[in-house]
Amino acid sequence: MSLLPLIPLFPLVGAAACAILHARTLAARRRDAGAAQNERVVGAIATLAIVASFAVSVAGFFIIQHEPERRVAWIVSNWIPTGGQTIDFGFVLDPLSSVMCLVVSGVGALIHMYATGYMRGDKGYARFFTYLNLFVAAMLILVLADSLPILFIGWEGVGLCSYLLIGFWHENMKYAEAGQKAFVVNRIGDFGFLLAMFGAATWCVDAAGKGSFQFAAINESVLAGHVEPWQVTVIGLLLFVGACGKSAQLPLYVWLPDAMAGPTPVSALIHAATMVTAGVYLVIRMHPIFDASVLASSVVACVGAATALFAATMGLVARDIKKVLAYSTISQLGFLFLGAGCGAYDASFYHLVTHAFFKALLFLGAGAVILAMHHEQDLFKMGGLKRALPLEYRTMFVGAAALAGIPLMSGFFSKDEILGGVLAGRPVFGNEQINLVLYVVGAATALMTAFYTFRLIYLAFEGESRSNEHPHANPASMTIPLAALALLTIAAAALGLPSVFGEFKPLEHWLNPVLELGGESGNAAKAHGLSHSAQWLLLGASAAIAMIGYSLARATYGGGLAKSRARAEAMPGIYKTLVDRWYVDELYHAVFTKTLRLAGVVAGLFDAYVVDGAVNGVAASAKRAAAAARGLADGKLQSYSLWFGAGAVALVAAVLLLI
Amino acid sequence: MTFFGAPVYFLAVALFALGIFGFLTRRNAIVVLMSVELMLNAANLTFLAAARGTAHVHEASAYAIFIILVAAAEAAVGLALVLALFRIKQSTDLDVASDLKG
Repeated sequence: MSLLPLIPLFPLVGAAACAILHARTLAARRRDAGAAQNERVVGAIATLAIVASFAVSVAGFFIIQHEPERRVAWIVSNWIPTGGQTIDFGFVLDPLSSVMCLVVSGVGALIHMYATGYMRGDKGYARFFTYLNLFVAAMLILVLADSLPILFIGWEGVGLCSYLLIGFWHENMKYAEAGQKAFVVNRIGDFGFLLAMFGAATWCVDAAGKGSFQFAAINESVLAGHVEPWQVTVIGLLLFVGACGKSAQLPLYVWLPDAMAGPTPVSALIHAATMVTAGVYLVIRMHPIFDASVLASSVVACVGAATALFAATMGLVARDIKKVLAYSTISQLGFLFLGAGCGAYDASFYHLVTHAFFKALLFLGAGAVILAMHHEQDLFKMGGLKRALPLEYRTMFVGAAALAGIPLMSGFFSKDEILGGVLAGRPVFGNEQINLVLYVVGAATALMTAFYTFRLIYLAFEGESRSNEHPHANPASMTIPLAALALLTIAAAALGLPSVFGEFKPLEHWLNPVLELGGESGNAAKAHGLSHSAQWLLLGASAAIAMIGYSLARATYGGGLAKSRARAEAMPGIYKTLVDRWYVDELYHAVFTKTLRLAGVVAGLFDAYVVDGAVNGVAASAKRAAAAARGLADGKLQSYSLWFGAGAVALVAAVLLLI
Repeated sequence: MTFFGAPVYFLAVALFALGIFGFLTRRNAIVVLMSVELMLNAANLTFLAAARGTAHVHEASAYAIFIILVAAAEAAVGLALVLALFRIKQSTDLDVASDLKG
């Protein structure tokens, strides 16, 4: 289908157009420092580019329904011919990438619209939309890719845009450093990704012994058993290293909280809804590898659970409204990996979609609050915003209810599906007891999630104002996306209701061609199945957990800050550890940054004294030899004659003596 | 007859050594030219002494006269150069003629 390349092309063209407009603004500013930029045109171009991409995605969604295997491909052959293998440039639209495209371009379009209002008056307005459009293009390439190298183009593209947008206000040194941190930490993950890619292309061969970079070929090879089990495990673990970097899992999560330095629409689009889910997408896309390796999938599940719990603890005490959401994003991504590791890919993907809606909603709401409060991000200095910002309050309440897992919200069902998948899924490390432990970890995380989510709501919107600022109303371009995302958050529940409500599971049925590769084993959670009574029990437990979290938050923060202060003083040790983020950043700084700096100093000395010394030594000895030879040419006729004569005598002597 | 058997060769070697010594040590250009003449005459002497009593005595004589000719021409060119040098430097000292030294 020739429509396919249009999906990433529209944002790419939009980015180019915005870049040209930005260049013109810069030229105008050189002539006149106060020259205005045409924000209306830039915003319209950028938003319409994403809307066009969304329209094509919708068309593609309907087209593939009539295709055999619900899959269309677009391939330019022989993109990179190499000795053994040829890399084709190919996109593939199948149920998985189609839903991802809809989410990326749909949520992306709403966030672009919001950003036209949020960034109003910024002197880098066109530059911002250039990066943002470029990001969407890269993300769409990532999800449409039919092989690992193409996915890697998108993977690096979103990483680059993430770096550019985190450090968008680079005049602030701290922001620029946050961008750099994200870039460097992601490099570690990319290293694993590259190794996994080469490993897969080398080891995952077909019956004829030929390797390939394509997902379909790699998955088929693993399913057919052409690959040694240890090789599958190595590929799976290396892939997960890449996923850990991109999706901010332990131990590479440290960049995401700092990434909040970027403008809030960026946090919503890149660091909540789309880019950070790329790791989960990768795991689901290549799930036969994780199905085939107990070790790799168990590591995925355990790291996911550990990250979910760990990040949630830090979310409990964060004061910055965006940091709370950042920790909750890390925590929810941990949930996604926990589900995927246990084989509950459908539940994991369901939560990915609902999370994209409600987390984007929460971030946009937070951005609206921040803007209304004149760039105040400290929750302790807010309060009482319910009256001034009623629409923001209502929509954020919807998002918070979904994140906290309040019954009948989309987040409630998707989180419950994951927890059910953990209990019923394939045994982690071959041991059912570990699944039970992971379930408890997940439930504890859910409790903390409900608590800190409503803590945010209470601190920001309820009670009395703790600020001297007078909040101002936000423009319609910002409130419309909020309302739209709130509706999507509520409606998304219908995508994957638990089977106790009947077999109405559109998302799961839709994804079946992708997730059931290799038969029943591809969907372990469903193979085991849970009885209806067990499901009701789990739903009840999830509902109870969410309500307990809500009540705790209400009891603690319902009446202002007094109670929480008292509680923090009652256990200063724990409070300080959490506020200082478990000292992980300090640990990394001491162990890695300082070691690397020391290595840099040593290498610098080696360069100055050994490498440069050798080079300079050669030059100096040539100089000394030349100085010695210069003594011979003293300009005296007689000394020239002497040397000439001596040479002649030496030659004659040599001839006489040797012949 | 061995090469160093006849006393005339000692004379030739002595003349040649004297020529080299003068050529290398004197700074006056005219004395240097004179030393060159000494060396040429030493060579001539050796030539004739070696040819004496052989069938080649006439050819040797012809070469000797030829060398004297060349020496005369050399002296003419050399003295002309010395004159030219003197015009530029007001001296016949060879050490002052070092303009081409780097």
